[in-house]
Amino acid sequence: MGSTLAAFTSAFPAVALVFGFLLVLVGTTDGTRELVQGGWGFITVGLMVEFVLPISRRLR
Amino acid sequence: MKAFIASFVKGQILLFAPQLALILLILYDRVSFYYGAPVVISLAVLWGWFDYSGKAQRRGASVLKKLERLVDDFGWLNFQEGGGAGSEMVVALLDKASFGSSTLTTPQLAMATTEKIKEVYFTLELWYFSMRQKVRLLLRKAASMIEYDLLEVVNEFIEFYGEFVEKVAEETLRLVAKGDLTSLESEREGFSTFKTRLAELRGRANAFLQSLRDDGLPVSETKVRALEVDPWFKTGTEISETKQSPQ
Repeated sequence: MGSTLAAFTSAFPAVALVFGFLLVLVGTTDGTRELVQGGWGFITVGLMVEFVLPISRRLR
Repeated sequence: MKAFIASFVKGQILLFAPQLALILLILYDRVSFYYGAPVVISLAVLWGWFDYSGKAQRRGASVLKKLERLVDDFGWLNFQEGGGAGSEMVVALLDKASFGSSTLTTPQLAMATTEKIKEVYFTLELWYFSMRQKVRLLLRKAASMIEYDLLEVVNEFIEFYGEFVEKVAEETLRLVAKGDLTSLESEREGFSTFKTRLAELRGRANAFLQSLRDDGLPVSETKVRALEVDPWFKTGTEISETKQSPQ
């Protein structure tokens, strides 16, 4: 249970980025503006968790 | 309370500030709702997770520190000769006891039992140092520790304590009781101190285990085994019996 949870939390940024890019791709192909915007939202979260949080923790 | 809020905000400010900013921007129609919603929700979930795991880690570290103190005290009392317990180590009685005039056992049988007890003692000593190392290792990596690790090491301590009391302390005292106790009169005070310290340690261990059970950690026992054998107490009873018998 603990290791599954740990694997999930460490995979979170990658999942968010992949899901975000998929939404952007589908939204662009589809022409749905909302999907593209949501996709960029997920990409932002993925980038924040992957890069900004670890850097801020190291600086603290 | 103020310190708690301060630590909470300081630790998670990077997760909180963007949420607030995005909500304000969405409200003022500067940012699309479809862009802001996943960001705000994900950051809120992460905030909750970090807060929960941080609290769980702090609790785990505090429990481990208490366990480390108990393990250290147990070792000081039973294994580390230089640590101060010295002559109070219960197995030291085995080398001082004499069985020449005993009617309850023969010197050969006593020697064989002594060897067996010492063998178990050395095995438990190795187990003790491995357990102490495990507790220290867990304390160092408390950040990534999960509840299962904590439960496992607490249960190991309960099992170890019981094994030591049953197979070393009580076996030693049972054997010593069969020998000539008059030659061990000088050790009586040392044994009494040992017994008091072990009882005090048991009291602290029981309180610790009960608090863990109250906190919802399913520890195997809430009471560790008590030392129930006292060769001098038995002698005292026998003496009173012999005093009463002529009447």
